[in-house]
Amino acid sequence: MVGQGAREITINRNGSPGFLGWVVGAMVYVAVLSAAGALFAQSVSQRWASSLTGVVTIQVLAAEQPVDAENTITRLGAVLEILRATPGIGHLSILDRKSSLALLQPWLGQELVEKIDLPTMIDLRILGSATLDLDGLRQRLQRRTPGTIVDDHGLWLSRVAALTAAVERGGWLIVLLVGVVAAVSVIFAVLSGLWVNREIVELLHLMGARDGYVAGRFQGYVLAVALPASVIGGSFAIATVMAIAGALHNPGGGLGSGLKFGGLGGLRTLDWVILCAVPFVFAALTLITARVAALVTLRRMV
Amino acid sequence: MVRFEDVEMRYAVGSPILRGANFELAPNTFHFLTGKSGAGKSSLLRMIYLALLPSRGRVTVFDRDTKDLTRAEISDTRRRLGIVSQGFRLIEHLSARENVALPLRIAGTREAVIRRHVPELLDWVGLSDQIDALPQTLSGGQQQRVAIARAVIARPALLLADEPTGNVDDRIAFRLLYLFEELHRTGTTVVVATHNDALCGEFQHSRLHISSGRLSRIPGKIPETGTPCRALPGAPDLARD
Repeated sequence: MVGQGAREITINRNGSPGFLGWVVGAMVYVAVLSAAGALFAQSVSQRWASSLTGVVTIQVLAAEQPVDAENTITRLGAVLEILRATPGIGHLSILDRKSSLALLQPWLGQELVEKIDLPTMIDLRILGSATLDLDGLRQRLQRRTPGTIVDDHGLWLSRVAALTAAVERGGWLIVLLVGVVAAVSVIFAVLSGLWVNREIVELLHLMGARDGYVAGRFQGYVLAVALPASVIGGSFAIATVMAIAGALHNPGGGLGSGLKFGGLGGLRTLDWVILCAVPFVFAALTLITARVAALVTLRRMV
Repeated sequence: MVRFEDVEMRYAVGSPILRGANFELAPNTFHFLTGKSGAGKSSLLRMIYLALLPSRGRVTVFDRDTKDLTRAEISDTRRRLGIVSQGFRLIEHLSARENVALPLRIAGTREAVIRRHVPELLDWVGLSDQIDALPQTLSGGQQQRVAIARAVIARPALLLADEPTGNVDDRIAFRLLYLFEELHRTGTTVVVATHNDALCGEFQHSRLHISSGRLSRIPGKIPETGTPCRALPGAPDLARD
């Protein structure tokens, strides 16, 4: 594609990367950062969803109170009875009032903690989401022990999913917009290049050059500018992403360490491959745009 | 090779540049195209090299009506032409070597062939010492010789020269004309537009003369068809499609 030997077309005679180089470099920088944001949102939402799906939490209020007149069975006992009779539950662990209090005590203090009527929490691990009839379980518990809450974290997860999906869509939208800006810049560079070089273009035509040959000269020029600019912009962006990822991963960092982002800020290997590909996709985009812009314009020129 | 049938050429304003022009250029002939400045010599050449269509009548180049050619066919036809223009039209930021190589690059010739032929052609026009010189470091006559080397490197069947001697003194003009004659003897049809009567007097070829829009033909004293005597350097493997 890039002509061997001579370069008939030059858009900047002084050899500086000029307007086009700066624009492409900056656009690639923004595009890689946005793509990283989108991939990060996607990866985090998947990670959190997978750690919470399959988990159901049951809150039993006033667990020690009896459910019947004979005083033979507590509310907690009744709940456990129902749970044992329910198919699809793998593992069950009870966080009783005492352990809950122990967890809260450092925050609230002994006196306050003793006054709180804490519910007993039961954590259920479900054997595959299809096997457990959650609604049926809710109804049965409600009948036997009114006020028992079954929380499958669905509401919270759906909100997290909506948020991360919005971040993800926004990120890709920015990548798209930035791509359009880069393409428009290339179109302007080619149009001004055709104007500045119109005598050379006419000369090439007189020597029998087809439009494809002339367009190839512009492609060669644009690629020579856009490829290094993309690589430089992309390298800066990836360095930025790595710095942010490192900060999130830092074990000493308060909130970041508590939330599970995973290694390198939660980005997976495939995500890094995609990020590294973005500059080259941009370079290819500028190349195709340059060719189309040159061909369309040349056809309109005499 | 080239045929004009009742050709009229007029621009948007003013009287026609050319009216009722009828002539034919046979293969392997040498013609001067004469007339005052602005008489229409360049317009006539432009119609031959497909940069201009006649307002009326028919122009046929290599047996094709120029009106019927597609964009791609125009390009392909031009590869069989060599064009030398008055202003040299060399690309300023390319060396003599790269300027001369352009028609071969456009035709997709292999790089090895280009590397061999370009120095041969520059040697033929007497510029073997200036191969890597940029045009602005060359004199007018030298630049014109680069332009001639570029026009003939792809072995055109028809060479069109528009005032090739306009910017050089008579001594150099004569030397350039000898180059054209040499090319003509190898089988190329040559048309040289000029208003230099001394040249026409010295080289007694046939003349096409334009005056007040009318084209007349003045036979030359030299027979129109020459005999090829010496091949240009290299060339056989540059055969065109």
